[in-house]
Amino acid sequence: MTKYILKRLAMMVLVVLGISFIVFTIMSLTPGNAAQMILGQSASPEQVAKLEAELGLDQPFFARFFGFWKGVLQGDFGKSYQTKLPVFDEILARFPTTLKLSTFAMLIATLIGVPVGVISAVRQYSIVDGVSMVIAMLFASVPSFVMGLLLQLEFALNLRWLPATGVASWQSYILPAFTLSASTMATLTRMTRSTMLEAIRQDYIRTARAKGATESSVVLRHALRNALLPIVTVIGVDFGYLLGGTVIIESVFSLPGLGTLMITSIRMKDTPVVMAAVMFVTIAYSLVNLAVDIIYAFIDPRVKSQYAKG
Amino acid sequence: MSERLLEIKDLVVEYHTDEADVHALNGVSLSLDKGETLGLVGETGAGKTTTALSIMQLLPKRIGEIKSGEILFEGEDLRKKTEAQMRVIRGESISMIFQDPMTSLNPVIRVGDQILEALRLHRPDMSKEEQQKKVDEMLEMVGIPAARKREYPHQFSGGMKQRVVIAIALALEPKLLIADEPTTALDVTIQAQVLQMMNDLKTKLDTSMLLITHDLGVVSQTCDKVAVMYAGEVVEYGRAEDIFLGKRHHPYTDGLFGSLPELNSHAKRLSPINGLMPDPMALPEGCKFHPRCPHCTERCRHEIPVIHRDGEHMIRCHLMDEEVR
Repeated sequence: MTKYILKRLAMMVLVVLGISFIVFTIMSLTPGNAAQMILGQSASPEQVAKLEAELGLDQPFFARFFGFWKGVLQGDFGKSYQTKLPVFDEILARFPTTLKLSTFAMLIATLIGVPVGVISAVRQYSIVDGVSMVIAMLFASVPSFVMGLLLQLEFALNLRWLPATGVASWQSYILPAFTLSASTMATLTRMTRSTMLEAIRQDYIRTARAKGATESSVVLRHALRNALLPIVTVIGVDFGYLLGGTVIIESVFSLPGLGTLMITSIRMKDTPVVMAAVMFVTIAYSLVNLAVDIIYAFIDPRVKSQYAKG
Repeated sequence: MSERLLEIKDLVVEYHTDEADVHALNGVSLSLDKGETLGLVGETGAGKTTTALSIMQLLPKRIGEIKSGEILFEGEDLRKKTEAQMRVIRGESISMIFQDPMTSLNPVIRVGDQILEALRLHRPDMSKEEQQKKVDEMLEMVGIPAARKREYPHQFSGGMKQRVVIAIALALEPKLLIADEPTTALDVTIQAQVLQMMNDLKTKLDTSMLLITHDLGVVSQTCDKVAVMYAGEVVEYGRAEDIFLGKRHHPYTDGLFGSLPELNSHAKRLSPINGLMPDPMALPEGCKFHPRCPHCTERCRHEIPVIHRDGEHMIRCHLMDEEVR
């Protein structure tokens, strides 16, 4: 198991290296010039050249790429072209918002989606099942910005229960987190329902019933644990995705998250910020996925013995 | 004679599917005395498993329905029991071994805990230590070292898994053990071992057994009584001697014996029963076996045969009419 985790961590280093190279290449190849962006259209070519030299943009591609990595290995991600502030501080300042938002959203999605899915499966074709499947369909198909705006309109403007924008208090997170959770919740509900329906049909469920097990024990102890793998996968993938920041929700609710930072930096050709943010997200995503794979082993002993083989 | 444990009277079961109603059981009557083994024989689709699931009241919900009939267990009709009452009976008084050991154990729960579950449910008064001791005892009894109780089903071979399933079924020393083709999924050498073991345990724990199989060899080794099922009916029922040594049989029983290979004959081909089991959605009129019966008469096509009794030996066939007379 430890060996497996170490192997995965080693692979993560390669993934980060690869991604950093790809993103750096894209940033260099796309048209536009950071110095020009900072100085504006009216700046003279001399001024632009001078700033380029200052930022090191006049050096060849590989020199810049290795220069970037040399800094990273020394714990220095460089300074933003725009703000001149250390990139790392900026990301650390923004990440908590994104982390809180995505954790909150995942909690809502899991705590509602999984139980509703289980109930839908156990009471297949009942009214509860029908209604929750229709709502799930709705949540999965309404674009998040539409849902965000509708929720703002109702709960912030009409009812005045919750703040519409900003991160002033924890209540500010409720609307964006709910908006963000909607599609995951829908996926989880449907996924839980279908894997539970499959699990309930298995022979070992009949064995459990033949033992005289109660319905709740049959559903929760015997069926749900077997149905859990795909559910955990969805939670993991979506959580990793949300950690990368969500541009649309952040702009609808004016939240200072990673998503907006990344978009503005890309637009401004602010390579150090983009690089650091992408690497941060990559690592977060990989760690979440590793965590998911470790959780697999605790859910299913067969997976654990696979890991032991290496 | 000994006491009656189980009596099924005129059991009719239907499965409701989107296309049609499937007539799975059409008036099955059976009985089993304490300490006996009853073999339930017949082709795939004859309604053997349906009979077993009806006794357990575990027919698939919304799809399977008991239309009529009685299932008397120790004189009480199981159909009249509530779900809560049935839960007490399941495992405690009646337990069941399912066909495929590969899938009948929960893959994510330790085998010891799966045996323990039965004890927890039905023996709450036992202390934790006693329960664990019983789990060890059960595993040893089916020939598995108790130390392996902390392992998971995927670490066991097929035969070992079936032993675990048997240990679960016998942990509470039920009065009736229903074994649904317990050896079909196992290879021949393991089959003999498992059967031997089940027979020994049955005698040791004084359990009655309903053994579902399509292996007549197994029946001859283990059963006191035999019921031959065809298309949801019991066509012949009697003591094992009647079925294996008796002179008069239902043509279907003759057919089953005729399709067995014999070591001491030089025949190159087996003589199977021609044709297939009728579609349970559209059963033939009259005797349900008539389309495949070599002795079919005009009467068989229209008239449902009555049961002919000779002591405990029962045959449902028109041919017996003349012979009895």
